[in-house]
Amino acid sequence: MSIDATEFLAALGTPRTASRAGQAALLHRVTGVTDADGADEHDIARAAVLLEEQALRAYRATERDVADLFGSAAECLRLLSCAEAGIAAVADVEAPLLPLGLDLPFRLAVSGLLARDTAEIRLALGELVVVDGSVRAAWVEDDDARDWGDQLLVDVFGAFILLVRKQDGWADVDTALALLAALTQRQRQLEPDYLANAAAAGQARAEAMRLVALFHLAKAVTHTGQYLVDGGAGHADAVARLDRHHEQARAALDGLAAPGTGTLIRFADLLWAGCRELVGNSLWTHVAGLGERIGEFARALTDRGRPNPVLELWPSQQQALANNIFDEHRRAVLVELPTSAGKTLLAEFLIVQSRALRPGGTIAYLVPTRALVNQVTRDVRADLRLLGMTVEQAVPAYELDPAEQSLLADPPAVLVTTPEKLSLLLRRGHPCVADLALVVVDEAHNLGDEQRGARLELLLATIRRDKPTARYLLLSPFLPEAGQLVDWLGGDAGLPPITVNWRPASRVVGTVSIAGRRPNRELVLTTLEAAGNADVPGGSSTVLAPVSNADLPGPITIKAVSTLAARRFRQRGSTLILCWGSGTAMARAAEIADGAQPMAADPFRDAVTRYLRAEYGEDMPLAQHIAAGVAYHHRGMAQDTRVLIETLLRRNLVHTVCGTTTLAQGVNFPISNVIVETRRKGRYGRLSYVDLWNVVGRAGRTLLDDVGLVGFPVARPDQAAQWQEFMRGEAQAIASQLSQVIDRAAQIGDVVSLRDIATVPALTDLLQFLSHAMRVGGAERTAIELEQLLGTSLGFAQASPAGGAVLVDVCRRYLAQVAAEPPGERVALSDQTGFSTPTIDLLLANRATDPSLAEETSWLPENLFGADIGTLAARMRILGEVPELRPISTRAETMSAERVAMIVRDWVRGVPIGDLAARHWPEGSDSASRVTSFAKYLFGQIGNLASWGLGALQNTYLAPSGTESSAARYVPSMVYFGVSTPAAVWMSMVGVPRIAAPGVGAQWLGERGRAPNSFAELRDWLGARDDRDWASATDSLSGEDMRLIWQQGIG
Amino acid sequence: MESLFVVAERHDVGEHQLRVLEPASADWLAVLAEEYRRLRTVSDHPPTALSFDGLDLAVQEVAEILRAATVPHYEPGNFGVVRSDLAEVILALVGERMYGSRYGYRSVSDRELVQRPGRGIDQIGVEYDEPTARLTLVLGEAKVSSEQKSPPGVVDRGDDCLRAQHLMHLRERDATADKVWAASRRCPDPETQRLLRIAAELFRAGIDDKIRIVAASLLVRPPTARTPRDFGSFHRASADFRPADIRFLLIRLPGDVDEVAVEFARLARGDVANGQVA
Repeated sequence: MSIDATEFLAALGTPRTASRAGQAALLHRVTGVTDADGADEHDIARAAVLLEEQALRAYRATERDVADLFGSAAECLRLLSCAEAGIAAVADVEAPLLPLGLDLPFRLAVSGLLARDTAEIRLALGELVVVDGSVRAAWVEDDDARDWGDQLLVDVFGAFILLVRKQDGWADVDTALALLAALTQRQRQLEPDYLANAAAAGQARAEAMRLVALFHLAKAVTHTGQYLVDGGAGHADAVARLDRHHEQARAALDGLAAPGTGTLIRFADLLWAGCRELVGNSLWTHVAGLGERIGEFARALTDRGRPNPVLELWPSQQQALANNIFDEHRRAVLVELPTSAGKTLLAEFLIVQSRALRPGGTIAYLVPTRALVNQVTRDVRADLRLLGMTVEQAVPAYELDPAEQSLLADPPAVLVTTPEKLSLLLRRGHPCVADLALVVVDEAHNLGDEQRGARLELLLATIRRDKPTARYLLLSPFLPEAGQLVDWLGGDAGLPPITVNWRPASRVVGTVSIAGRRPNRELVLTTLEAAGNADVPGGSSTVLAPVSNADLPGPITIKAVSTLAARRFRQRGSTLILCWGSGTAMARAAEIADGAQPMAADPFRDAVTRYLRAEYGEDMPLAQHIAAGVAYHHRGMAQDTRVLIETLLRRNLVHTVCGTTTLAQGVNFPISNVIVETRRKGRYGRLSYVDLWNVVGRAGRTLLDDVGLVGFPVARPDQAAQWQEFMRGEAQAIASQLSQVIDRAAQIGDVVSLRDIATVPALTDLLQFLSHAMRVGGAERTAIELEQLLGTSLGFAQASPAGGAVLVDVCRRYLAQVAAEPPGERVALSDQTGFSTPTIDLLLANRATDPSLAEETSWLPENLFGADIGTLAARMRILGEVPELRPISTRAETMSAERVAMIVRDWVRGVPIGDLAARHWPEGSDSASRVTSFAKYLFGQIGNLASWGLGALQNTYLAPSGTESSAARYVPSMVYFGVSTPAAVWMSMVGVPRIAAPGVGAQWLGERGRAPNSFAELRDWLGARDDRDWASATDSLSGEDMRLIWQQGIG
Repeated sequence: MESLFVVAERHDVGEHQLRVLEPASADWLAVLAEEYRRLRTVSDHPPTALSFDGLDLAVQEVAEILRAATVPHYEPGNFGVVRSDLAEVILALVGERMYGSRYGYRSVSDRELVQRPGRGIDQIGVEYDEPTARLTLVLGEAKVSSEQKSPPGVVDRGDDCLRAQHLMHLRERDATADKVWAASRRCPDPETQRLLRIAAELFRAGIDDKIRIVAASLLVRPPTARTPRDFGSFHRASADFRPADIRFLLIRLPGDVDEVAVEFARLARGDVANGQVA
């Protein structure tokens, strides 16, 4: 019977010692400075041992605080592992059972594992335990001098460490199993003499018993490794084997009087607990009993051919699974889990399950941005293709061109897209969404987004009504009070929301400031109190670096502090700096790049540099900065360019990226450090709590960083206080954006006008929702069932009775307005185009004045994008009046319809962006800002909105019976991608940059002479292109550069 | 476990125990000698760890020599090792059997130099009373004295007397706690190891309300011992030893101290012809 020492440890302040040690270890990892707050290494080493013993006792007694106790032990061990003196202190306090290089790592491995710090511990073991060719040689300096018993000890415990570390895919597991398998041979060689010597010394029994114990421990570790490989006979069997070997080992050791046996017994217990945890974490444990298809998926995830096989689930994923997300009777599942905690894999599991339940059903995977559409498609495809499941993206344009219409006709298993595109596909009744089995809503907190929240909400409401058997998986780092969302989507069949707090890396959050007087100034990190979001309490100050007069010649400003911090943070990994506005982001990048050492040459980075020069002009500053490892990232860049920057960052080919606060929406690249210069967002907005944490929460890359650093540069104390105040906030519950309509109902006239639509953005989404209901169910039925219809929305569920009545009233007025005139065509067009009926009225009015609008030939690319831009200008003029496309203004003299048309034409013709800016944009302070300003306009308005608008015009004016494959129908996509032929559109859809898309498209036509049959066919064909093929597709870049850009970057 | 000794006199002062013990049976010395043999042959560095390559001697012979060499021969005089070991073995056995003490190791089994008395604290023990959850750290010192004076000099006089040693252990907490940790490192039982470490840290930190400290003394005396005077300052000024409780056990031997020690050494070495000790 082991005593409960909780009270004794509390009296000793051991938990506090551990907590401080943990914080000191974190700060050490951030700053390289160790400050254990007065405690010496021996104090901490003793605390580690006491906590480890208490934790083991709790583990045996199956008590609840096991993870906390092991976590405290791990905190002490982490700090001790930072320096030789710490490792020596552990050896002083407790005679090490294992060689010094293994003793602390073993204990850290077990404590970290049981504390559920799985990712951090794997990373730490990668640094602490160096294993190369000869495993044992790395651990034991003079192996031959150690007897058989000690060699056995080293191999068994060393193999366990490798099983925890799991470095390089299967390499560590294979090495561990090989090490254990070799024991049999070593036993034959070494054991007879060993036992003979022991017998001669009168120690035969004791030594034999020790060997027996070690054999059992070896067997336990072997079983664990084999279980990781294939799951053996299941979890229960594996645990039973581990328990049996542990009992046998204990039976052999208990009662032995040899000195040090107590420590060996404790190590045996630790090993047993560690093995059980490894088995518990294994993927196999969690997929057992979930059906053949899930098992097949698990086998695919562990495949040796994968660069990063999934051998275990993170605690966050285990928690979600333990909370019954696989319950097939649940219609709505909501998981709130931090960034990088493994939500994509969770979604994939549910996708596989959904497909197993409904083999023909499609899974719609919704993400908020185009960048995320690309990335999620790539990631999910890589995992699911091994099951033969097709994963495709619907291009997040607001239009559907003939190629996409056809390529998606055979529904993929998973369709990744934005809410807007899914809405379009549903409204068009596209076959790929005819049978929706599951809707995955990533970044589901966007339901509360002021601009797009209502659209997403009403999309889900539409699916609820149109596809009553669809299930929902909502994922987000921030969904407080989410029960309402689950009730809304799932009704009685909703699973109670699952909230997971586990993060793969620790986080340090603080202000960065300058302290002291010249010439002895210092850059100082002062932690902020950020409950739940940071792992070091507020108020700790640590010097990051000295600051010389040369470092800071001018006054202390946020800009100066930010630049110094970025240079300092660079040592510990990639850094994202959030600035206000693209100009600031570009300036900051220039400041940081100035004087930075050029990075070693890399073919991909060099290809990106040349690509940027070709597209944006020779003097594009980004191309110069990238050579120094610095980049910027903002909306004034093509999506392709942004994807390339993210790829460079992911591959450590740039170390610092300066972005704007608008990045908070949709950034998805791993980073070690985030520096936030401002809370200002856009022209008038401010970052919300959710905005901020959504982006800074990415600090700390899984299995690359054990700690993420978030720094707020400040120049004055009041700025620090403001950040501290902001940190005290918390995420707000999702509020439906339909409240806009309720709040402004009084401003909406009896007849909904274009002005109402312009002033109440959510109104257009609501009217769209009603139009769709009318088209599907008829106007009369919609009116009768209005309350029921609105009941499918979150806004109605959240509204007070009075608010609900207001909403109903606005809708009734609108229905009456539509009913007053024959609704047929208007409602159908509204539903198809995504424009409100007042806008449709506006478009229809134009038909009478310009009959060419209804002529297919007038829409042919050669007639729109030729020398005469009259036709295109006329159409742009119409779009300038559409409130839904409000940013496309064609009224101002500086931005006439003719000028917009010329920009569109030249964009489609493939004129490089740098040249477009030079031709069509007013001169700015310098050429770089001119290009940026122009590109922001181009990608913010032309690419998306003009494409949507032209598509809507075609839908409104052209007869449905028009030739679907006509080049005219590609016009919206041409405008979206900036290319001029249907074949170039096909290539753009699979990621070929516009400078090569026409050439590669021509090659395709030359070879195949037809449109592609599938995206997979296109990708395979492109994958087989060699450098010569790519070279002949463009004059702007070499074939090798172009191939690298497509294969490694965008494609 | 049956005790080897019985309490013959009690001179307790409040919580402080000051008692006289006498052997409970005729074979007490043989039992002690066997315990001594066992302790002296348990080694952290068993012969198996030594290399015998190139030696002409058989391993077994070397092992026998090593085993025999671990039991020192009796040397007359007050500082004879076997005499002091006799006291330490009694201290440990009495603690174990009468008080339920648990030890990390026995000092007599872990001596660097066989012919020198152990340094540090003779016997470090820990006791845990489950019903009251009370943890006790026992710091034990043992002496043998056939001096006629009462109290004998080993009790209160000189740097090495029981009083000086106990007061030093209590005063120099860090050093004492380190010694307790050192004792725990060699402990074969993980739970005892743990209790010793907790006790060491509570003692180091001076959290005396969470741990009871016992200053345990064992004094081996001839039949002529006079009590309670032999307890010296432990009886007269018990408060000097705060925060420790005194546990002073005086072993009154049935015969001459040196004769008993000679017999003890002979039995322990196992070189007797009558096979009393195998």
